[in-house]
Amino acid sequence: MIVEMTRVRLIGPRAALRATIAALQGASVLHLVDATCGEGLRRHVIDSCARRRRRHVERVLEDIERVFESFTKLGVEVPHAPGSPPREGRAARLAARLAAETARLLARERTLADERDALRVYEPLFDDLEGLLGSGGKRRVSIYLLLLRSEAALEALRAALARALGEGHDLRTHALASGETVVLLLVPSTRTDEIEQFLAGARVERAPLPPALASTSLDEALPRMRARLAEVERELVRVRDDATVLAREHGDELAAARAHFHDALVALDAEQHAAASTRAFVLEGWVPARDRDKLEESLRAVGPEIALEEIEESKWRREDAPVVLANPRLFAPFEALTSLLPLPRYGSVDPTPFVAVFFPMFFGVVVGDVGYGLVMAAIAVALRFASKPATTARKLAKITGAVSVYSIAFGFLYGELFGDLGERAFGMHALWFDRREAVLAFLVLAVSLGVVHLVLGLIVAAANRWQRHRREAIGRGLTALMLVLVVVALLVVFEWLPSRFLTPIVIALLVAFPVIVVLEGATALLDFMTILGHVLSYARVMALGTASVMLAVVANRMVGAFGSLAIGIAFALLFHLVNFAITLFSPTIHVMRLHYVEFFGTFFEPGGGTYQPLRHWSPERAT
Amino acid sequence: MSTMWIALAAAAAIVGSALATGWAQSRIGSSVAAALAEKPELRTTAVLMIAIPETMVVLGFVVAVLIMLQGG
Repeated sequence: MIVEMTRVRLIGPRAALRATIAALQGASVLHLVDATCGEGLRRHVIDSCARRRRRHVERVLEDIERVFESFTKLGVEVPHAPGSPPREGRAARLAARLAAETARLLARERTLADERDALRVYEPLFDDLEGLLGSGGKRRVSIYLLLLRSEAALEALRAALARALGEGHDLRTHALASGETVVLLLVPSTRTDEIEQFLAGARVERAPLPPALASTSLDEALPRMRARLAEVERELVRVRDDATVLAREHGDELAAARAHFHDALVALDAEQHAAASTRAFVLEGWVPARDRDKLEESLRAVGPEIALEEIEESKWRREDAPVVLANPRLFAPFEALTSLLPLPRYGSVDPTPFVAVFFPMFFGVVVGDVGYGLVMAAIAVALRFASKPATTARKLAKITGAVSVYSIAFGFLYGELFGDLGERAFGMHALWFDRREAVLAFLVLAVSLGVVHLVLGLIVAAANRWQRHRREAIGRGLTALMLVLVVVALLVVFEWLPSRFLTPIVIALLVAFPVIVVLEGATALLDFMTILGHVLSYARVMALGTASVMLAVVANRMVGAFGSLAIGIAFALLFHLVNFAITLFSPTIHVMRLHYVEFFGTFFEPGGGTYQPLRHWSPERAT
Repeated sequence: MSTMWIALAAAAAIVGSALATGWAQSRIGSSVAAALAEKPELRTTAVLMIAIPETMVVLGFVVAVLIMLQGG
């Protein structure tokens, strides 16, 4: 349902503007808009004092956000216990000091992390190097660390070294995640000159040493690498510990300052919506009608001089009002599905209750299997306990629960439990019809559901437009009537109704056509043909349902199709799993489409504005 | 012989509509991908646009079923 909104005007002495805005932030119910100017009122001018304050607030906020960003990059969580607002001067100084300290810590951490990453490139070769250097091999062999960009370059180097040095060398390689390869090349010291010449000629790149060891020679650097890596790791832990101490000491104060300064900025922005005379201010906005008392109460706390008046409906446009949706607990989770589309325009119809009724029903008609329904119910229960309240996961759990109930119910009507397993194992029979046999009955059911769904949509559209656009409302109602007449005519043609009905129906349709053209224009005929096409589109319910049950039956047949019973059961389970995955995905997409394209097309009016009341800043809302 | 023709006719109904749907969705899909790169907020409209041609294959399926039922 779309909540009824009221447009209100607040008038008070100019000196009380800031106190009023603070009270409005506390009440969190007024969606501010630009106040109407005229009759001695002009846009509220931001004076130099307010501009200076704004610059100050923005500067402090910049420091605070930089501190939080640095803590996040350092992997430190900032503890936050809500506290009283800080003194502004102290908070600004603290933010500046912490911004400098955390920036220094972050820079140090980056440098150390880079060095650690550079050293880790050589880590897999540490054992080889220590073995060589520790055994005195350093005197007999020369060591080269090379960096090759590709596998092809490595192969080329191998071949060239084999040609140049024969067996007299050792090549140890380590592939990096980047795709490059670090190569440890060992050659007899006697052939150093020869290999130096070869590497220079072949333009083979030497692996760079980490920055801290870059000034030393390779022979000096290699034995120190492992120790340096350990030292860097310890230093990194120290840097993070320092950051954690800072966060623990100042986290509460910083979080309170963050909220305070963001609030101050919101209040400064709100001032710009005001109109003012030399002595008074005027604020205008939207408030949900149910929250008007709350608003009045918050204004009484500012003082009796603040007046609140309701602006009568004839002076505002309905399409300007922001939209708040409020549905009963049973329907509310389905707002997750309607929120994928733009908000409905104020004064039109919220489709959520219709989606809450028809989405699970259509889903159940398609799936219609007790077994699959029970698995869905188990998933819904698991999701319910694994999710937090008011999260998308919790809403999904509730939607899954609803669709599982309908799937089980239609499963009994079709007599299906994991396809025909119920029939074969437990003698289960269809209470209504068997989908594997009665394809035509299933098609009729699907199309009938389409007719009911679309006629309902057209009636909703007619009822909703009756007050505002009488002509359009009559047109929608007439379209619904014509749709019903066409269906009755088809029933007569297929001899399900007596033939005496046909002549009056045809006459009624012939009369209705010109009337609807007069009411809605020539495109009304095209619209009617489109709606007839939409009715046929509901045949997908039958198509998907039939495919689902046939796949389940094929899965069950696999048990006897292989020599081994165990293999047959394994294949059957696998096939059921695949079918279940398809069953979850495919009906969701198609039933959503039936709502979005076919059903909403009859009455839905998008274009509602988002309701954003003036309120206190919070990190959760900011993200 | 007539059974074969019934089966072929039903298959033709499905094949023709499936190919048409696939072709339409490929054209819409590429355009939608380009539009989404510029305006990600159009994702819902994009899904709807891609879903619209599916009606063709659904109708093809219905025609195939009717052919099979009529043909016995």
